[in-house]
Amino acid sequence: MASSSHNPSILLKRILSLTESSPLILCLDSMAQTSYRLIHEFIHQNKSKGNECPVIYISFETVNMPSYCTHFIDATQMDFVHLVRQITSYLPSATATQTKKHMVVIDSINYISTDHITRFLSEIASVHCTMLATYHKDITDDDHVAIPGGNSNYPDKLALLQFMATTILDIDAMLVGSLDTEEVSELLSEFRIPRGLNNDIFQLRFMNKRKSGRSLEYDFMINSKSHEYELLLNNKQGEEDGGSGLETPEMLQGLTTFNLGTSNKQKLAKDQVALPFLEAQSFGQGGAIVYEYEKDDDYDEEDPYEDPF
Amino acid sequence: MSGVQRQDLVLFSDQSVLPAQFFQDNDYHNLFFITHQSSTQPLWLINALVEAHVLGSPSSLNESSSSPLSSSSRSHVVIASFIHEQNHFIHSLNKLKIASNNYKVLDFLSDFIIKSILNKPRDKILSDLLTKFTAAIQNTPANTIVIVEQPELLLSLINGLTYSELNNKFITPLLKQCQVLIMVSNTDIFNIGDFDSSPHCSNLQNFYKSSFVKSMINLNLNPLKTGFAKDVTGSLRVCRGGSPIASSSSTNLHVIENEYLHLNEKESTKLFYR
Repeated sequence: MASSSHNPSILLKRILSLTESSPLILCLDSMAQTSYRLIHEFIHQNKSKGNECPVIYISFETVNMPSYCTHFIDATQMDFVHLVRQITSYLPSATATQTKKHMVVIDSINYISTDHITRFLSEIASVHCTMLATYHKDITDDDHVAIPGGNSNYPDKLALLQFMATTILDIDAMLVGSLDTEEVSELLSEFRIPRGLNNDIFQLRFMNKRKSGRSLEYDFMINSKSHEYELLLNNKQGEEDGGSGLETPEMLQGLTTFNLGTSNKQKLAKDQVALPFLEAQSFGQGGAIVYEYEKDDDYDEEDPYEDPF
Repeated sequence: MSGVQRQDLVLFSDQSVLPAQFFQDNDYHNLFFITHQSSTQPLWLINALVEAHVLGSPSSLNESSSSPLSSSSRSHVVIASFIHEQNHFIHSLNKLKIASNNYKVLDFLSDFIIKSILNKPRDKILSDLLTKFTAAIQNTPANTIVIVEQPELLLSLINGLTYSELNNKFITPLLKQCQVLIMVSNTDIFNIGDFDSSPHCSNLQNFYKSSFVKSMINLNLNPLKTGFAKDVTGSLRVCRGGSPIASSSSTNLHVIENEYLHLNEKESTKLFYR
């Protein structure tokens, strides 16, 4: 069930500005909507909070160094050991106190082989660092079969990453015009790229794993131009809220001449009504039946069978 | 189509095909990704881009072309192909009156396997290829664009080569050497029924997808879904790629997404809005 103590938009902003601790943030993107606009949102939220942190950019795909990064590592020509050594040289030591949070952007983690991935992430991870890893969903994990020992039961890269990530940001295109999701996926599967993809406005499924083990899941519409995040109510969330999540006053309008809606004040009053069964539970042990005689009752004290109890 | 107005090819918001600001700073690199199928060959589009770069505008395609640049201010193009021999490009560029000193064609078809691939390790093959490009780019003046046709064939030609190796050791380093790299690929593999799901096939598909993610514009040449038409050869869809436009100036340059119909005739190609 969605937590009532969290405002989803605030939680998302806290994740984007790195205020909320989340060591591994996984951005799942696709050809339809790539992750660079979302990464810009991280940078924007960091700047607007005034806590600009050093950004270490590990690039397998990006050729042009982004203006916001402090260190740009071209990982295309590096072997695994060198890469890890270079990244850790830019990070504060795990035991250091009072150092600024560092952001490590990995573009993209598809290029790190499955058998190295856990070691790679665990060697970089520290309390002073948040990893922001992009994974392209539509690129298949070919080196899965090449795991040493050939264990076919070993999970694939995406499953491993989803298990390790503390926040998962699943990005999808916001479709405009007559296109629907099915049509777009069919066109993409034929590599006939439709227009209107990779837009400034896109959908985001945001999943945050809490320390308790519970995960919160919300859908957002992100406008990367105006930096506005709009929460989308989806069916799943409505079901989780006991089905009442979808009921809005607009749905009840025009059905009858009566007013079927409830105002906020009425809802509050309804919540505060003490239901009788709750009071019943506050009784002590056992029970007692108290019979009060009325004046017309005919009661013979000497007759043992007259006693109603 | 005779009654329909012919259109000019425009790719960017400054009404250009190859904006001048791409060439202002050596530190910025942009990838164009042209995808086509066997029935919609991209030679006319490659020619138009070469014209746009060398002459200033794609005069064979656009009616409202500005006067060609003087020969001293002309830029250069390196064309490399894994599927066509040198003459294929030389003939067509001669027809467009582009002087041979404005372009260089690298032929990676004739004797390529015997000379460059056989009995050589993967790394060596890719580094030798890259050296040939480096030499070709360095021998021409600045502002050279590189067009490479069907580099995905290397995945089939070189044993055990993966898409990530090809990207890391050839495509990305090549992109770093020039300001504009135009990659032309044949995407027929996506239309081979349901489905050859061999590792080689998914390797190829991964290469196309990763190239799309790296590109900032995609020019998609497709035949008509309805099949053949007398007055339409196919459609050209212009759409944003997966990366932002890289340039030093802060103007709000963006890709104009559009869909054209094209008609290839013997001597010319015409574009119409869809």
